[in-house]
Amino acid sequence: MRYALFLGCTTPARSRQYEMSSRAVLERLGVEVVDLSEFSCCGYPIKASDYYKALLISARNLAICKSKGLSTILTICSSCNSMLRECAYLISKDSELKEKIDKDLKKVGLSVEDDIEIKHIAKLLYEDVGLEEIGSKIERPLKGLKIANHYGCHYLMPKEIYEGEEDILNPYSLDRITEITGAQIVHYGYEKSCCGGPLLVSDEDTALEIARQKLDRVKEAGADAINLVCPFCSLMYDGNQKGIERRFETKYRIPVLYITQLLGLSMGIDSKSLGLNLNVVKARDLIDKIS
Amino acid sequence: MDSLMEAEEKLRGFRETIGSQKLYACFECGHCSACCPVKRIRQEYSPRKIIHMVLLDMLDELISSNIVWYCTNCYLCQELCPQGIRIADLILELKNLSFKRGLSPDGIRRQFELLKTQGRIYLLDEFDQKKRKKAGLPQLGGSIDDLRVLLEG
Amino acid sequence: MADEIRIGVFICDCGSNIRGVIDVPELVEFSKTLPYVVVSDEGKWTCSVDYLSRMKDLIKEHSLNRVVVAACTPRTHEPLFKRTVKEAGLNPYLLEFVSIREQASWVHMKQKEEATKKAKDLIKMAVSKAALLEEGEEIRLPVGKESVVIGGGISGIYSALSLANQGFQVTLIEREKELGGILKRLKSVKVDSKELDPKEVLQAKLNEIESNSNIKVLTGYEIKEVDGYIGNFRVKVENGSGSEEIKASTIVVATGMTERKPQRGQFLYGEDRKVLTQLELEQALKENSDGFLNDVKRVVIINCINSRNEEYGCCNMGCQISLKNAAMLKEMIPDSEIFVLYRDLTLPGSEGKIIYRLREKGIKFIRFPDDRYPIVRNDNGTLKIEVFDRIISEALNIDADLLVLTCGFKGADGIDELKGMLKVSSNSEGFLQEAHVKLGPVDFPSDGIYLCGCSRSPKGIKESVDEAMAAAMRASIPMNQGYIEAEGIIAKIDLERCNSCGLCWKRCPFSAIKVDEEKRPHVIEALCKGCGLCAADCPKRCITIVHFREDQIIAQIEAALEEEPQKKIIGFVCHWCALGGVDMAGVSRLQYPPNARLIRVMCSARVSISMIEKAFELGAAGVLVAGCEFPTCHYISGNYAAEKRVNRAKKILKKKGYDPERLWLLWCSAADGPKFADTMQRMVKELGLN
Repeated sequence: MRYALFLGCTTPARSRQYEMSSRAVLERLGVEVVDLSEFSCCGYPIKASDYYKALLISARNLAICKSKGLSTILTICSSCNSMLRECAYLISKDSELKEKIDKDLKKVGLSVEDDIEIKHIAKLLYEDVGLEEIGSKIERPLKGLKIANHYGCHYLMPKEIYEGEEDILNPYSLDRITEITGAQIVHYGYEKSCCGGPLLVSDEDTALEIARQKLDRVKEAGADAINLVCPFCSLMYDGNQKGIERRFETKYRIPVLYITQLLGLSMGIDSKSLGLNLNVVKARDLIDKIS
Repeated sequence: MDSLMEAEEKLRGFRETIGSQKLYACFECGHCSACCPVKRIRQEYSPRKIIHMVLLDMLDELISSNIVWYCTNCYLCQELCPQGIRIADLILELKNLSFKRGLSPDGIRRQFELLKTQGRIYLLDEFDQKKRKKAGLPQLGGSIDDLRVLLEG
Repeated sequence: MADEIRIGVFICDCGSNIRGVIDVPELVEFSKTLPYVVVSDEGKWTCSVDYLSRMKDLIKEHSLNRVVVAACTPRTHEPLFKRTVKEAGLNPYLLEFVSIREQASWVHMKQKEEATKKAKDLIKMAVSKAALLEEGEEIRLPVGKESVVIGGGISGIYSALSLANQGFQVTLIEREKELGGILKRLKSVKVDSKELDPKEVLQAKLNEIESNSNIKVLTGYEIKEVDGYIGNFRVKVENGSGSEEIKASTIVVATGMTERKPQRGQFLYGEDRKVLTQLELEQALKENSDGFLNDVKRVVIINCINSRNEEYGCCNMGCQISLKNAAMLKEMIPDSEIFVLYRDLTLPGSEGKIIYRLREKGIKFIRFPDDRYPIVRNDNGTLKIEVFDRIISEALNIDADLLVLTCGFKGADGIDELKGMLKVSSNSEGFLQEAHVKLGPVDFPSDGIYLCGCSRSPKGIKESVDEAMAAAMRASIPMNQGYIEAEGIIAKIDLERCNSCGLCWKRCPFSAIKVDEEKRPHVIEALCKGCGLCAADCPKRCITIVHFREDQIIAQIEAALEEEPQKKIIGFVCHWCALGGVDMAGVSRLQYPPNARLIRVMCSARVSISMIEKAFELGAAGVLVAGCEFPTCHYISGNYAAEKRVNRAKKILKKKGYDPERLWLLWCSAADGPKFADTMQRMVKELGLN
């Protein structure tokens, strides 16, 4: 089974280490991905400006996928995931919408496709590859490493488009994967909080304050690192951690790992291949914490 | 796009398929405001307030105050609403309205323009492509022209 | 009674409830030593059929003419033993019942000796009282088949029809020119979420009344005087041209209510034509004189006017009325904007869904803070309303073409005079007070008068009709039976010693004492409830209460304090609440010190100053007077009288050299065992008896 890898906008530009570690882990697990250069932005950034147009360019990506003979899109970013899934869901349920989109897509020589599956890489690991298979590939259990999991919002919600895959109030997929790596899960009480990312464009102050609340809790709980599944979220916790430290006169120094970086470490993949040196908050020392 | 009826119509148009819950089912319990991550920081922002103002036909005030742009679209309010009201979707609708009236934040408008012209938020330059090559990553495509057509108007 | 007094004492084991703590055989032996006691017996379960049969045999065998039963509490089994004694050929008023279970074995479980001592005292007290008991008789009053219904609104109408359909003769009195009450003034009415036309509803009932030959309708008549008692009421009515006297056996009061209108100027009411109350709105809509609703594009309704504050509570109907009218207005002017400004919206049952429907129709709801009502101004002819919206946290301004105020309600006009005539009471808002919220919801404390509908509290049609039927049913019971039996515990006046001071006549809560031209008092036995207030207050000590005579009570006090008075507390407990509390303490097995010797009276008002004095004279450590909690005295105002008297007693005691702090007052509800037990603990402690 081949997956069309959907990188989105943020990952290649701001967090290519997530792409690196994802490719490395997928290779290790024998998952084949295809790169489609025709993929555009998923459409999420313009959802707030013009919802229909966002769905439209999302639908274009689905159509591109189908036109290359592939039927499953693999995403790195949660926002991309939710946008593409929302689009697929709505098109399949609303025939009027489907027609309208089809008409517009025809302008660029494409037809609407609704039979595309969209999977987040974390879900791929949890559901398709499976914990057993992953477990068999663990070479260096991350004993002693304390991880605070951040599920984020678009990985789980809106629950209709995810059709009840995971309980939004008590999610577990990332926890299970973390456990398999041998690391210890730290509960910090603010698990459900949004990262504040979407507010960066309109009100940076508020966005940073929202992210700060979670960083405070994570620090209080004594976690060694944050584990997340969305480059958008990492913009806040990793990219802006120093900015928050400066603004609010605190110190965190909490590294932020993407799920495949965490998994890659436990699979014995070297830090360079995982792009750990590209993480904004120094993550290289994490290895020392592993006993 | 001015009356409650039209806003409702638009809402219905997009979300009837998922099962629309009428706005007037809101009994002001405040659950949405209680779980909103933004409200914790900015007390003046409140999803409940937004619903209430829409019901009172105060759309103009709502849009011109730009309060709707505080929403991060995290969906918690919608997921936890005991009446099943699609609050996040409603606020999204209001944001679209604000955009149409030219009242959205600059950053939002900029992103729209970026997608229109280059199909991506970030266009990789030569330097970035070199770094990718060094890391063993495939080269990325350039701007996507299709979007210029699709995002017209 | 000139015959030799022969008392039989029957003591119950109550299984092990009494016997397990108290030495009953010792009690039996002890009783035999008391004066006049010819037989003393022990029974395992004296309330059992077997034992009652034995008791009857013993009564006959020993020719007993007084019976003392020492067992559980009189509140449960006194009637049973009275019946038994009657079956054995004795007058039931010759029985004295003491509680050695609730008052001794259950509450002094670890102090067996003391409990037995107390039981002995209680039996001694009972025997001394029994020696003085006299025969009494139930009074039977005849009740006929005529009823008067005061008030011709929906409640009065339904009540009248219900009574008439049962075959009773009903006179329905209404002071307006037409029947119908508030229903006449409504434009729409809602029952169970269904809209009905008030005119149709009313007309249907009026037709029924017309065709019912048992109902006589008097419209345009006012009540001038009400006299008498159940079976013998005389109601005098007057209209413009003449007067009539109606004789009836029962009366149903259905006088309804009125709106508690705002003061002039409040929210511009009375100063601006565009400001109305809900009822005024309905009337205006009904008449619809010269397009009342023309040019009305914005309506504002404000709820809870002068309600839900320190003075007045929730009116119960405001929310439903305001929403019904909001819907009605929206229907009549579809493109209008209707605002409902509220503090809370409470809609019972299925009414709750109406809010969603109203919002769907576009009616706007704004919630304002409890302590910040909207401000209404008239700005150049436009009504401007400023309301603080709690959700937006801002003051909003609304221009209105019509402002409707939802006010609370109060009793009908003139209710004060009517209640004086009927000798019933009302609360401060003019709503008449029923005998007991649970045990007599449509009864008045006086027999034969009943109430229903909005005269009692604001309610809708459905509840009004329910109550109207209930009142008719209650009235029908004595009328069907043909008589009522009044307990024989009544006051008797010795006119020879009376000096016509008139105090008893003035103070009787039931107006059961009448005076003639020379101010000589006479007890109307049908109305007397036997509370004893008159007897305790009478300065000449010439009033006595059957079965609770002063000398009987004094005998009990003397018997109790014969030995070791300095250790004992004499407690007067009223039969209804205080004894209930004592019993509850017993049932709950609350333990307290055994110093009290309780004397049962019907009402705390029975306790006279001389009784209290006597107890202290004989050396009692303390005296407790216990009655019902305010305002639930079984005899309306007995406990108030008791309180006043105890305060006077304290002053007198002080003068006589006794410590007034040794006289205690306790208000105890029938469920408040802990309160009684706690009082015993505290009293013993503070009087230094432990």
